[in-house]
Amino acid sequence: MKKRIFLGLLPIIVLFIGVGLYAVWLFTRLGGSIDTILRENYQSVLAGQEMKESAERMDSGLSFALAGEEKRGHELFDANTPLFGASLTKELNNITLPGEGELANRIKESEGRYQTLAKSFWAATDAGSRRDMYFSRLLPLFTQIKNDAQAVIDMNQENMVQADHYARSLSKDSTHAMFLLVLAVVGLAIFFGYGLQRAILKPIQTLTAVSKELGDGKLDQIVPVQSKDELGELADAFNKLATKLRAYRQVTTDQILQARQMTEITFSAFPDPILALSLDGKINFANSAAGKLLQKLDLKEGMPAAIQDEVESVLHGAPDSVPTSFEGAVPVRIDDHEAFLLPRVIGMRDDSGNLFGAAVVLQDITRFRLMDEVKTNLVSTVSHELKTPLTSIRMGLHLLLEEKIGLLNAKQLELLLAAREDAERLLRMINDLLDLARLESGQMRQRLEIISPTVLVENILPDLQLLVEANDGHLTTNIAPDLANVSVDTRQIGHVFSNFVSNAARFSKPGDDVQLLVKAVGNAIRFSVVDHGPGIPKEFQARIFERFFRIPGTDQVAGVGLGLAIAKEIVASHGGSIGLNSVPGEGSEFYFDLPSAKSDANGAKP
Amino acid sequence: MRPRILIVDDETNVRLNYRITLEMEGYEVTEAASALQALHELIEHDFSVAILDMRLPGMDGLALLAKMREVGITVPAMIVTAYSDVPHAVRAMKLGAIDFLQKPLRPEDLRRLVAEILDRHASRREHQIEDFKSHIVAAKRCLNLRSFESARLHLVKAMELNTKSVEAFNLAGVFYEMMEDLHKAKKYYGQAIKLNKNYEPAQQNMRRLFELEHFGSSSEPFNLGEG
Repeated sequence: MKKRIFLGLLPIIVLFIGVGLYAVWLFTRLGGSIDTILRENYQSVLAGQEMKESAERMDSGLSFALAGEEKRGHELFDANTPLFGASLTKELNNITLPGEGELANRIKESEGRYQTLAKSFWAATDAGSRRDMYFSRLLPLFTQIKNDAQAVIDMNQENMVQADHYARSLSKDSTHAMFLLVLAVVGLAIFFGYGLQRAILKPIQTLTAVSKELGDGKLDQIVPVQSKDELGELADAFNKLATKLRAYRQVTTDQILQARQMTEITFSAFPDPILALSLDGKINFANSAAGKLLQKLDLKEGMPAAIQDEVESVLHGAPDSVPTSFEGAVPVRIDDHEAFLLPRVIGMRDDSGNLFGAAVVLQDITRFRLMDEVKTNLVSTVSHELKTPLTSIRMGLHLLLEEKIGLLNAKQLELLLAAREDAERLLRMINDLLDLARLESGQMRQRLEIISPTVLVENILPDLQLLVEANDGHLTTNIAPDLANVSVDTRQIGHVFSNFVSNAARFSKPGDDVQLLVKAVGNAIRFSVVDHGPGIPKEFQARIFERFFRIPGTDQVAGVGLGLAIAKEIVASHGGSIGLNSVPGEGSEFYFDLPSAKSDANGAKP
Repeated sequence: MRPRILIVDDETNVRLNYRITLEMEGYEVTEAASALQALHELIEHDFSVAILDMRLPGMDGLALLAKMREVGITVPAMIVTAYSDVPHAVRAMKLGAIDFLQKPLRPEDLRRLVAEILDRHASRREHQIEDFKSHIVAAKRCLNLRSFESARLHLVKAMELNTKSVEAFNLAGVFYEMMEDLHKAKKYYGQAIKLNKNYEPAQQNMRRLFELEHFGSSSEPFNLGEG
C-alpha cells in the first residue's frame, strides 16, 4: 500500500522537482547573462572612453607643440601615452563581441604608427616639417584611432541595449513557459492522482461488493487477490474468512440435517400422524404415518376438512387446541373402516413468541373409542341384566308391603322395608351407572337452551327447596343481578343442582339452612351451594368427584358415590368446571362454573 | 265376565309379579313366555288387554304387535319398555299401542294403567258421550283401535268442550305424531306447554320430538297423561 501510494505519487514528485530545477536554471540564466554582458561591455565602453580621451590629450600635446608650447605639449603627450596603452591593453583583454578584436588590433596598429610618427615629430625641430607631419599624417591617424575607439564604445553600447532586449524577451518567454509547464504539471498531477485513487479504491470496492454478497449468504464468493500489499492481505484474510464460513456452514448444515434426520426417524417411528405446517397452512413435514394417512384420504395438500378449521384458528393466533376428551375426535374413512382421529394442534413459536407454524398430531383413537364403547356397552349391558331381576324383586317387595295379599307382622314389615330400601338403592346405583356410561360415551343427548341464570335457578328452586325442607332447613338464594346468559340442558344442570343441594341438606344438621349463590367469575357464571355441615377433610377434597369415592365413615345408606362423578361429567359436557371450597368443621361450598353463552349462539345445538 | 289379561314376558318372576298384582284386582290372567306362545293364546281366547314386554327373545314385542294387527287381533296393547327401548315406541304407537309403562314399575302403576284401558274400552258401549272426559277417553280408545278419524272427532269435541285442557292438546299432539305430521304435533305439544309449563307429559313428548328431529332417536317414551 505504502509502495502503491509512493509509486502513485512519484510522477507528481518528479514533475515538481523538474519544474523547480527548470525555474532555478531559468532564473540563473536570466540573471547571470545580463550581469556578465553588462559588466564586460561596460569595461569595453570604459576602455574606449579612456582611449578616446587619452588619444585626444596626446593630439592636444602635439597641437600645443605646434603652437609653441613645446614643453607643455611634450609633457601632455608623454603623460597620456601610457594611459592610452593601459586602456588599450584593457580593451584587448576584454574582447567580447564579433569584430571587436579586429577593431582593437587596428587601434593597436594605428597607435604603434602614431607613436613612431610622434617620435619623428618630436625629433624634428623645424616648425614647418612638424606642421606638415602633423596635418598630413598624425591628425588623420588620430582621427582614425578616435573613430575606432568610438566604434568600440558604440559596439559595446549597442550590445548592452541588445542584451537588455534579450533579457526582457527571455523573461517574457520564461513566464509563458513556466505558466504552461505548471499547467501541464497540474494536469499530470490530477491524472496520476486519479490513477492512484482508482488503484487504491478499486480493490476496496470489490471487497465491499463481495462482503455484501457474503452477507446475503453467497459464501462461495472469492475476492481476487491482485497485489501483495495491505489490500491484498485484506482480500486474502477475507477469502480465508469466507472459506471458514463455508466450512462452518457445511458443519452446521450437516448438524441440522442430522438433527432433522433424527427428528424424522423418531417421528416416523411414531404410530400417529404428525404434521408440521407453515403459517400459510402448507405442510412442511409429515411423518410416514401422516404421509400414509393423507394418501389414504386422497389429500395431496392440506388437512382433512374437519381438522382444517382448528388448524386455521391456531395459525391465526388462537390458543393451542389440545383436547382433553375423545369428544373432539374426527371420523375419517380409511380402507373402508371408520377411524377416529383426535387432533392436537399446537402453535409453533420462536423465542420472541412469534408464530411461525403449527404442529398437528392426529392421534388415532379408534381403538380407545372401541375399548371405551366396549366398556360402556359392558357397563350398560351388565346394568340392564342386573336391572331385570332387581325390578322383579322390587315389585315383589312393593306387592308384599301393600299388604293387599295379607297383613304383615312388625318383624316381617321391618325386614321387607329394609329389603325394599336396599332394592331402591341398588336401582339408583344401576341407574347412576347407566347415566354415567351414557354421559361418558356422549350418548346422553343434550338439549341446550340459552337461559338466564336467574330463570334457571328459579325454575328448579321449588324442587330444591323440598330437598332442604326434608331436613327441616331452608334454602336461601343470592343471585347477582345482570348476569350473562348460559347455554344449558336444564334437566342435566337441574340434576347437578339437586345433587349439590341434597348432599348439602344431607350433611347439614337438621334445621340448618343451605345457600344457593350465583355470581359472575370472569367470563363464567358460578353456581355454588353452601352448607354449614362438617366440611370435607383436606385429604379427600381432590378425590371427592371420583366415581364410587366416599369419605370413609360417612353414612353408607346415603349414596353410592356416583352423584358427584355424574355432576362432574354433566358440567364438563357443558364446557364448564366443577370444584369445591371446604373448611372441615365449618362447611363446604360446592360450585360449578358455566361459560357465559355467546350472544350469537342459538338454542339448539346437537 | 272377568276381564281377561295376557302377560307376555320372558322373565318368569316378572310374569309372577304382574299376575299376582292383576289377579288381586280380580282379573283373569294368562301368561306367555314368548311371542309365539302369545299368538297362540290370542288366537285361542279373547283378551281385554295384552301386556307386551318390548324385549322378547326371537320375535320381540313390536314384531308381535305388528303380527297381531296383521292377523286382525285388535286387542288393546300395553307396552312395557326399558329406558333404552323407547325409539321403537313410536312404531308401536302407530300400531295402536299408545299406553306405555317404563321399567322398573310399581304394582300400582300397572294396576292403574290396566284399569284405565279397561275402562276406556268399556265406555264404548255407552251411547251418549257428552262430557269432555269421555271424549278424551273415547279418543284414546279410537287411537288404540287405530280409528284415526273417530279419534280426531272425539278430540275436536273434547277441545270444544274445554279449550284450556292441556290433556286434550297433548293428546292431539300424539294423534298428529301418529299421523306423522310432526309439525302439527309440535304445535299441539307447544300449546299444552303454553297452558301449563309444568305439564310433564307434554314436556316429555316435546323433548322426544326435539331429540328425534335432531338425533334421530330418543329415550323419551310417549306420555298420554292421566285419564
